[in-house]
Amino acid sequence: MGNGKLHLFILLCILFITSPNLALSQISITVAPPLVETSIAAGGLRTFKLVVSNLGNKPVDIEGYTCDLKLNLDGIPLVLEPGTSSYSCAKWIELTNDKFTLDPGSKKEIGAKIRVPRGVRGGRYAVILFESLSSASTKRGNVILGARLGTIMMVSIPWTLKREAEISQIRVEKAPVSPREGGQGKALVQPVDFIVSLKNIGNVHIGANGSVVIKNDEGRIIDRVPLEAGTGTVLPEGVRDFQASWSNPRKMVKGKYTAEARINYRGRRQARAEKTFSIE
Amino acid sequence: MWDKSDLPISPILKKGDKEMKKNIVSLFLFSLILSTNIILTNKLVYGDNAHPGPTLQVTAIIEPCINITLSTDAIVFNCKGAPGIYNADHNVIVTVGSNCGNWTVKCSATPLKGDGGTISSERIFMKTPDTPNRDTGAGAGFEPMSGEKVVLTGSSTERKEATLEFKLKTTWEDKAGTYTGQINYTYLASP
Repeated sequence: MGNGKLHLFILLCILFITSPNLALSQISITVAPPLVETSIAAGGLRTFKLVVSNLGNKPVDIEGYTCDLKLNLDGIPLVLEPGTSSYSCAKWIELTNDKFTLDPGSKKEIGAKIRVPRGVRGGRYAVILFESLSSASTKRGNVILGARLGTIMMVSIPWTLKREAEISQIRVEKAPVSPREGGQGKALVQPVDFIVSLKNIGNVHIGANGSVVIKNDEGRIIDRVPLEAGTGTVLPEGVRDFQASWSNPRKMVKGKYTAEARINYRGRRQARAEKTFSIE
Repeated sequence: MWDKSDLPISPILKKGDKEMKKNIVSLFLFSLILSTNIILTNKLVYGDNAHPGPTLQVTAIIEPCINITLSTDAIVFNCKGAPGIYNADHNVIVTVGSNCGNWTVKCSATPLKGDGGTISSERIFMKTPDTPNRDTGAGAGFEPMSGEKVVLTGSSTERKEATLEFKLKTTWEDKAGTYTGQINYTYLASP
């Protein structure tokens, strides 16, 4: 009887110690590389190795699949159904292993084969996603948490590339003044924000950067502010917003101005557009 | 006048002298070997290239990679009582790491499905450290999970963490039963 009680106590202790771990099984997945940028001739084939690792404390079932890729105005990737985008290569990619289980601490090499059909031109984009399917999926009443990590594929087909971009819009907005900027006896200056939308009208992605040149009503350049947009990548048919803020109290006097946006892409190519605005 | 040699020499002192001489000689030899060794080593390491020692070139290749860690693989909304707003049984801590480029973590939810019907994902609410502090029906800072929500963004060689809180809004139309759904976190590099 005494022995039985002792065994029960030990069992309860073990359950008490291990129960939080049982309830909170962690998901931790690593994918390498996160981006593959390559050039493959039409009709060509290339294979890549992708490594998926499980750093969590439980085995995890992984499913690999391909999707289309787009970038929003801020350059944040959007995952779409395969075949949605006209510049997709999602259906050209074949994975050697699309469903597998990874034990804690283990990793697996997955082969990705890209076969570029003949007669296609420009750049093609896709994302290879690896999605965790946790063991909690078998339990009813749970909201299952899943992790998806991806490798972005950017394929260029040489000798068919057309790099062209245009500024589709320039917006000039008055930025709100923070109380700190206006305080401490300094002159109150309302910064001017420039949002320049660059549209890729070519057939391959471009990496762009630029600045806004500010001219006074006499046409003289009085200031220049750099345009920010992270990596500055714009996919074909895509639009990306480049932003700049002008807040130079010495130069910002009442009057009419012209903002000339100059965005460079692929070396010496440049897209230009201008817009007038005034400071009152 | 007396001479030094006239002094009686103690046999003990004679023995000590000999030992001292022995010690000095061995100390001298030891320091000679040591300094020769130091000189030779210095010459090998820093000296001219006339007599370079064997060298081993070390190359380390660190492959770019991204990692996401979720503190749990499931959450439960225990909705006991009248319809209303219910908290998830625990918060979710999302930790991400990257050794390359810019990246984004987004979150999306599927509707909760059960025998009694479907609860739309718009009735699941999430609060992140960056959500605006306005009330959209589930308390300040909680936003409905309609569409994809950006949870974290960052640049290279960073490890970031965000604690996410979840709530579920139930109505009288939701039949009693067990509902199951999924919340996905998508972590991608920004090209």
